[in-house]
Amino acid sequence: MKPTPFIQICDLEKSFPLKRGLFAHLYQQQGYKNPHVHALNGINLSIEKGEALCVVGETGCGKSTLARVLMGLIAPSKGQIYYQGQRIDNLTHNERMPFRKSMQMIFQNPYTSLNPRMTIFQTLSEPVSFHNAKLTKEQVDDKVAELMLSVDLNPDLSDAYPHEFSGGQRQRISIARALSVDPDFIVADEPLASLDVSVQAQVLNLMKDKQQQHNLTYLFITHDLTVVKHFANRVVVMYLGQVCEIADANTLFTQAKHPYTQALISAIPRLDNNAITPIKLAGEVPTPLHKPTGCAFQARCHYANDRCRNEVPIPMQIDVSTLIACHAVEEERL
Amino acid sequence: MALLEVKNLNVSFGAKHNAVPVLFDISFILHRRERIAIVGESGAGKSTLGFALVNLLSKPGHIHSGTVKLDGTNLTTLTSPQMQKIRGKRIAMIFQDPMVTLNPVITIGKQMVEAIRAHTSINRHDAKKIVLEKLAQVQIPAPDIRFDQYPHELSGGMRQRVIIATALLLTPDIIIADEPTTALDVTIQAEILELLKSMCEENNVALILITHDLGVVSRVAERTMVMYAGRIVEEGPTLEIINDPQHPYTQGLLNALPQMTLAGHKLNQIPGSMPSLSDRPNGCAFHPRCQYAIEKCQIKQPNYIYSGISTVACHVLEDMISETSSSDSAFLNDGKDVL
Repeated sequence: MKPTPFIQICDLEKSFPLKRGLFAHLYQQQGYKNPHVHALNGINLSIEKGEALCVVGETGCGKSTLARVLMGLIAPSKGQIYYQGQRIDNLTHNERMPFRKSMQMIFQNPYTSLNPRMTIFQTLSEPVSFHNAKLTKEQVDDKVAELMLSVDLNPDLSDAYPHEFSGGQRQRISIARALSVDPDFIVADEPLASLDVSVQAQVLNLMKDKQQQHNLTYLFITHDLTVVKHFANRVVVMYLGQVCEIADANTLFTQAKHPYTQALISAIPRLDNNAITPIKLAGEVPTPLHKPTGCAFQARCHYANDRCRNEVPIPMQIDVSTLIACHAVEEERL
Repeated sequence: MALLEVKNLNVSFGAKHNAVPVLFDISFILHRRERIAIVGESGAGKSTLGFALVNLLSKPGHIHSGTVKLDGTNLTTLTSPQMQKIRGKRIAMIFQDPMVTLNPVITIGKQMVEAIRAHTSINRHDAKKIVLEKLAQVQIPAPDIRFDQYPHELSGGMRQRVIIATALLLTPDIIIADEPTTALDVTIQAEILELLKSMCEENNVALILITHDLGVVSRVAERTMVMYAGRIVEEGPTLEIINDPQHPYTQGLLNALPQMTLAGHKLNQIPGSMPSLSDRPNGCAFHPRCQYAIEKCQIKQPNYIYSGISTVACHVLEDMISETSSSDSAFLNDGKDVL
């Protein structure tokens, strides 16, 4: 029997109803009944202990929603989430508490995810003393100093406020905050997006170090494929709330199968000037307001045929680690 | 004669007695039909430079000294109405976020017609014809339908296409594009860059591309200027700079890219971060983060020297070049080994 995966996501769906407001009104006028934004449409995923799983996709593909549902920040509409075999998506606030300690999140924008009115000491000590009520004040102080050192910040700065730090330093504080409760799973939602290239490297190295030191498991969400290649063990490519392809990072970059993955990889801005011409996709990401019939990608795909337009492709195991949802691959038209 | 000649441009923020200089001695030349890129991290002053070129610095920013000459006319001394005739007509600008650039309550067609009529005496009917033609040129499907739509009805990539079409309406000499693809997804970004490049070629327009992304630069620009803390530190042909960066900062910037490191290895990082312009280190602004820094770097601002590949401002490199005429020194090849 297969061992229980560290985290398992089954048939996860999330849709946001559009009930009030101008847009709901407009869409209802246009004949949409009961308009919903379908952010996630049946996601199946398992995360293994100790791996770095990257989720990539364009704006609006549901990658941030996936992170939030996984962390319990928003409730899923359908489906189950298991943490080490135990179902966690239907727990009450109090039942969920022990899991919050082992699952932490790093957000995209370190300018908004740190409370501007709390000093770094307050930001870091709050989760420490909240989750370990027995610690004395000295022990909390020590822990905070240790945390700051571990992310290369001078503990003497602990009484400073977030605005006194640069973007890279703030993101390191966010990492320290996530590590403050000794989690074993960290969800990082575009942690590099607001940082400069030279600072991105610092933060990425730090995250990699922490993974080795604490045997962390990462779910790393990004739109930057060059980072993925460097950071990930496995990659999930998402499109319009569906999984297109799951593959080992190496396999994905050398022999991507799904037409969307191929287009994404070809579009990476490269230094070796125009060695690869980007594959042109027709049109743009459609709105997640109504579920497309058939394959989510069919409207932009060069290989789409009638089957793609009508039938939703089911993810297929191509080899041990590669999973692809595409009729063209299945029929070997590609 | 060069199309645009910038000479010793100095820009400061604040009143005279406590002005903070933000751009130092910027000099460069842009030829007709040339595409150049200005690269740097946030806070390097690249957008400020873009605004300074068209005299759009918002208070308290002002041009302290230096000249910006367009076909021989010094733009820094023009009055505001004179400058308005140049902006949009001879120098057009494209900004990062198309949703902010377009007026949300006016149809795109009307906005574009207005842009034409602000500078010429073409009547509405003919202006509409030009607009439709330009919209078709930037590959917008069904331009006559789009003409009467509002910006919110268009997707991000489509909006940026409209902006490019608007910039091209009066066939300017120069387009300044400030991070034109940062707000877009990768697949759309590739398309927009391709479009921008081909549109400039077709219409004989010179391009100044401001970006932080070296991958974008290599796709579009012929020449590249690297900025650090308000100063150009390296300038030369794009491919040469990417293949053989000379300035330690350019080397660091390139080496920090994830694609420069084998998967699973540690990324090469530049320690520290860009200084804020109000407390810029003495001498070479990069010296606190530079692994090659010598004593001289802390005291004196380096001069520009030609390394055989690009023009660089670096003391260490200057010493190296004067000591040995051969360019095979280990330092010069530092970037190449990694590539």
